[in-house]
Amino acid sequence: MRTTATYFDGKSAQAHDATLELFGPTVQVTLSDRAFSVNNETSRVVEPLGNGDWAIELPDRQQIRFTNKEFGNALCVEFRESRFVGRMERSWRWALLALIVAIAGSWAILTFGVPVAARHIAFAVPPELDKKLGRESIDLLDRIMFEESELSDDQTAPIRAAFANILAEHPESADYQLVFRSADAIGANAFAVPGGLVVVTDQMVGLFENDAEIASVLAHEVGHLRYRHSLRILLQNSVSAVFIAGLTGDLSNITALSATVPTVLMQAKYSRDFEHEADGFAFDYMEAHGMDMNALSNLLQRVDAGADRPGSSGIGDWLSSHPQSTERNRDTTE
Amino acid sequence: MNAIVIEKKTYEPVEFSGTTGQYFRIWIVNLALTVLTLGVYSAWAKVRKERYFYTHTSIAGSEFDYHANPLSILIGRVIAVILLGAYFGSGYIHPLAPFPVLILTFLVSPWLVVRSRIFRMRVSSYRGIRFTFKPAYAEAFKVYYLAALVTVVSFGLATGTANYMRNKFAVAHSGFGQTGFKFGGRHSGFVAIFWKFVGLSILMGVVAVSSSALLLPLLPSANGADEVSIGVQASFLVMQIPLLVGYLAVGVYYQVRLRNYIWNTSTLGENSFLSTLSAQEMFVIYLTNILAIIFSLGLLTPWAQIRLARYRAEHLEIALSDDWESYLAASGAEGSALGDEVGQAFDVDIDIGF
Repeated sequence: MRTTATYFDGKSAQAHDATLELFGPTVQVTLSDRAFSVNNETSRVVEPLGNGDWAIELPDRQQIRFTNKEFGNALCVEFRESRFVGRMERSWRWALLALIVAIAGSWAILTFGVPVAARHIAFAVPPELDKKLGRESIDLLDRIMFEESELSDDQTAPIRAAFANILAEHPESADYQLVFRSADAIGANAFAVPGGLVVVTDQMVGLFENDAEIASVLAHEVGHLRYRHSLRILLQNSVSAVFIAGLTGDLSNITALSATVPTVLMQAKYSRDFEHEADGFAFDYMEAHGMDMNALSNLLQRVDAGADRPGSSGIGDWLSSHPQSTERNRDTTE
Repeated sequence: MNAIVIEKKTYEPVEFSGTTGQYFRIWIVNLALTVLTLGVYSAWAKVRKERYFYTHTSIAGSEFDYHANPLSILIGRVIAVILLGAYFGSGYIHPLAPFPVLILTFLVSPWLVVRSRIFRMRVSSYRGIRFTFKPAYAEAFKVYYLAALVTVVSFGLATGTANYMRNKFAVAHSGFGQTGFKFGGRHSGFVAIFWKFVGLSILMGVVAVSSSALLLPLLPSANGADEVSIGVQASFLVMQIPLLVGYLAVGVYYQVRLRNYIWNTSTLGENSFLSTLSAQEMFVIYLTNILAIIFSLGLLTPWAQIRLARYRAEHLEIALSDDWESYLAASGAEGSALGDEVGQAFDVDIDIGF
């Protein structure tokens, strides 16, 4: 089998006309002034993608390019070049299968794979690491956001008592601590700092109407701590961001804006899942003690109403990353 | 060949022959294999994607080619992921720890820029000759540090100057075989483009804010709502759309003007270039691309990429000196430079967008 081709010597960009002839596993190359042979020990055949040229890559960056498809097919057989991926890329049937695999695979990885892996890693990390981070985080927050609490011991007593009751049922969490801070910037809020610290703002304390509401918030935060949510969200967010970037990473810079949409949606979903998990922990406790199961939902609706508008405070994040307050009940955690 | 001869110079268009149908199948197979291998295949995917675009771009009947070894790209990506992990992970050890990591990354960025430019140029070829980038590390540190300093000290007002410095460095150290690119851009040219961009940004900001204000009465009342609903949040998002579109428009304008200016002032041997991108057309392409990708849940990504590549190719021509063939014949390979061997050990493509 013969074909015409173009030979480049790798030393200059000049094109040389060539004739190729295939003799079993050897290609005889004839140029205007010389001839030589090529085999698959020193050279490889490169199948085109789409309409590109076929190429034989020789040592020292010499190159032979041709367009004869039959010759290329025969050469691939003789040179034992794997063509599996190329065959898939040419077929619409494989493309359809690939589409299904890509969608199902990404969905499985992002909704099952990443959270399961993050849980295993998080529980393998020693809690001491969390404690150190927690101390530094609260120091930082104290400097930039928090003021000292203005509450009296009498005002915090019922909350401290409720916290002690919760810990009493979880002896392995006995070293968790409760602190109060004033924070005009974020308003009524409570959160868990890694390492076992639950922070309740003065503004939040002002909204408590009964013991069930107090217990619901504290147990929710203890749930975050016990399930190591701060480490898990960090792991899940970074791994999913890298994964999504890897899938869409071939977009040019400006169009890459559209890749942030799935990333943000995924991270919001992870956050809501953790809120549900912490809610579940709180509801278990409240149920065991015969408390009003609507307490958390009632309280959170008052928190929402107290915030002027979204985006003006921490409430904007609260909404996008948290379930709707009206839905914070037993049904949604099961 | 549809070449036009003007005063001894032949204008040869850059031709792009990729099609959405072909590239869609390559793209989706890449995606599926990347998912199945938990990301490892992404390096091979990148090579196949680049090869498709390079081999479907041609000048004077000869196509470009891309030769990267997927393993080099894989190693580069592993390093990038480790760096990212260090960045995220250090935040868990100390809340302020990511800052030293950021500063360190900034400090080594000139080295990274040069390394990845060398890699990208060396794996690109035309008619058997590779493109090159000179390993001018010392100059890279000088240029990048100075450009950053100038930008910070002037509160961003000297961004035009910083752009001039960085682009001059990038073009003047690039080459094709033994021929180096020459940078003919002037400082005043970059400064002028930057200030036009600033003026346009201010104008855009005024227009965007006032059109947001016009939209306000059309939205569900935010003030009267007694609970902060998702609906109100969505309204705020809608209000930001004029600003986002305006931001895209001026961003594209700046990018297009810079690209045209850099191409049109650069030369390769006796050959020059003619880049005629239109900021308006590019803006329409980018905007419709983004919308198409979002509303097709990503499925129109290949269409968007092919369309952009075609538009860019259609608006670039190379003004050949009258003896292109003899120029090519004389365009030798860069030879087995000493730095090449050393380079092989670090032959990685660090994928951080510079």
